[in-house]
Amino acid sequence: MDIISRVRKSIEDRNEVIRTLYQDQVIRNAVIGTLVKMGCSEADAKDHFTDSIVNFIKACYKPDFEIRSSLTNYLIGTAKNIWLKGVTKSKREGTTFNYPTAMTEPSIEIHLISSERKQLLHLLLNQLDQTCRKVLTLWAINKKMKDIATRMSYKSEGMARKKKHQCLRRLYALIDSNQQIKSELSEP
Amino acid sequence: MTDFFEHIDAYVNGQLNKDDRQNFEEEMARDTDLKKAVDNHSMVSEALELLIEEDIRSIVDQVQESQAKVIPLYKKRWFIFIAATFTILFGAYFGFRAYLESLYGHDQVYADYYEFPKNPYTTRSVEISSTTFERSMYLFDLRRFEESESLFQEILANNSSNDEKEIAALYLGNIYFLQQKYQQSLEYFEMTNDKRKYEVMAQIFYIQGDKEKLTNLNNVHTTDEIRLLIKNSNSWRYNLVK
Repeated sequence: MDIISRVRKSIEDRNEVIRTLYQDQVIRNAVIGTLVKMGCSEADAKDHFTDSIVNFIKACYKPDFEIRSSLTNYLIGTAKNIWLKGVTKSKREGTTFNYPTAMTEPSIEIHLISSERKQLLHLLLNQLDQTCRKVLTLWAINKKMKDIATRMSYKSEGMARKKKHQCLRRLYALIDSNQQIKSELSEP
Repeated sequence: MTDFFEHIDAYVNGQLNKDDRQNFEEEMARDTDLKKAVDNHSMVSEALELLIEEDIRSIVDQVQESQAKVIPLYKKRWFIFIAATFTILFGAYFGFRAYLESLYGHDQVYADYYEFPKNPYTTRSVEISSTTFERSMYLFDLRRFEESESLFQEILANNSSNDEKEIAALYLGNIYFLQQKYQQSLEYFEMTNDKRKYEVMAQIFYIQGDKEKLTNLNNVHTTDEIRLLIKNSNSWRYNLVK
């Protein structure tokens, strides 16, 4: 089974893939080494290595996602793009990025959410209870209701569906009731 | 279509068939909450994306934490304690051994047992010594061993008397003993019958830890010093280092 299928198969398989990738010294050294050679600090390069794994796993959930080169090259390209685009760095840190477009990997999409937008979204999500967060997370990962019911110890799929529905409505309501956050999130 | 909220994503992404799409839009016109939800759909999607991302990061954090908790063996207290104990014990053992080796080494044996052979020509000086033999003896007394060595070698090589050759061999044996060249020393002692050689030979065997040769030597020629060397060679400390 290829690695993308393993991520999609189950949460346990996905978590094992995450552990394996993170602990793979060859991949780790390749990604971090490449960024450091390009001028990135080692501390940032380590962070971007983590980000590249997160991005890869998120990408696996997109139905049409596939890797054309090796996984190592994909992660290197991802980490490069994340670094050059300053995706995970806050603009308030004062870092400006005038990266040469030619240095990025155009075929690699970054699915990570920027720091600024994370802060805004957290303001909304923190108003959801933990159960809703968990149910919505499982649903967002395309888990079936039966699977959600099992993991959340609900008596039936119907209960899981009902809970998901409630949580989703709650989330919609939170966004609609926070005009300022909504306004800021509406900005590109 | 019963729950229109369930189909917001499909509607936004254009995945509804024509009839469902029409129904959905009619419901949107009636239900303002549904309309707002569609308008806010992109933000809800992004919030769900963040939930996925944080779920993934939580696993990475767990891996990082577990790696941080793995204490390298060399940092564990019990390992440090055992390593330190072994180091101290080994150090003490080898230190004690080195001390014992110094007790039974050349310098201590030389200090405790060695006596320089007596020069019968004590009233003469090197300058007025008339023969090579006398000069070699005086040079030896002056501890000018290299010079005396070459003269003694000369005596052995030329037409000197047997007595002088025997004494030359004895002195050469002594010179090589003092230089810790024990094999050469023993070879020259073999060339002489002078009994003064036995005690130096015994000292050589004692330093080398050769108790058998020491005992055999004692059977051939015994002195108080040789008997003392044999007695000392029976101690546990001597046997520990030899």
